[in-house]
Amino acid sequence: MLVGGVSGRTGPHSLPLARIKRIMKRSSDDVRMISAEAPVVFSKACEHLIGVLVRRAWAAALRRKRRTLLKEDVAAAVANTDVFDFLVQVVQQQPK
Amino acid sequence: MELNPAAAAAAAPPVVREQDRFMPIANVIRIMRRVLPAHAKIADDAKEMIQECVSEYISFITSEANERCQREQRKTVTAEDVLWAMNKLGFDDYIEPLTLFLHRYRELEGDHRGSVRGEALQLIKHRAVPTAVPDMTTAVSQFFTTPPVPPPNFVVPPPATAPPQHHNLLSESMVSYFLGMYGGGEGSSASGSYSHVNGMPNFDHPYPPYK
Repeated sequence: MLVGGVSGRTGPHSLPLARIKRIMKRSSDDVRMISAEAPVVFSKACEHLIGVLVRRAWAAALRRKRRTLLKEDVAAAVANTDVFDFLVQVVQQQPK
Repeated sequence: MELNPAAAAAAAPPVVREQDRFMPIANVIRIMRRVLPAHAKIADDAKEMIQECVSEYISFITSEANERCQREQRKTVTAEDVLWAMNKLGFDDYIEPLTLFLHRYRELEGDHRGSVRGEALQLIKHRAVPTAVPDMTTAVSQFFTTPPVPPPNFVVPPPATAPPQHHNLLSESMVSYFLGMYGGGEGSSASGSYSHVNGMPNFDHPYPPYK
């Protein structure tokens, strides 16, 4: 009865574990081995992160009377949330 | 015809492919849509920015987890290391739902693949954690000051639908963990279905789990 997973749609994980693992490996040169469960945890954690980030960004869009989510809304969400300080670089140095 | 794909790949400059750096955009958009109203539009660059944030997040947490592994002279980054890093870096509100999620995952894996995987994990666990903990939640529970409660935004199966299954899936240690977790006293209905099956049934279950 639990089969079908938490998200139900793409099996238990809505983000691909192999991709998560690859990004983990890239995070530094000395990451040697990664337990199979670590990407599983990340798959859920990333869903949660996206949810929090997008909800806050949407609030920023509404404050500006828009119904389109723009990257400046994402930047505002990052700027307004202490725990997202590590993303400040990402939202500032976006090319284009 | 000289179109040898291997030769072409060798000649190509070592560019970092997008699929090595980011989550698939379709998956990211799908998750974004879940929390947005149906009428919301999303600009393309906002989607890409979220995609980059996800990669940065994974790197950020993994670096911290990996440093811990190196300090403790371990080679494998485990789920526990990841949870530890999240807790350290301020994402402590993620820990409870993720721990529950990992539990469900382990139950399912145990169900599907037999015990081989579980035994391998046990070995790692005993090396990594000084006290002989039967499963990771015991270790993780040191983060908690209160018993973990499923938060509203994570889907957790209602216990009432599953009791017979639980009896098959849960090891003794898991059962005792859950009993501890929910403060399973004599009167607790959660503990009742596990611990008083053959005891005197001095209270009635709304639906008896065993026929």
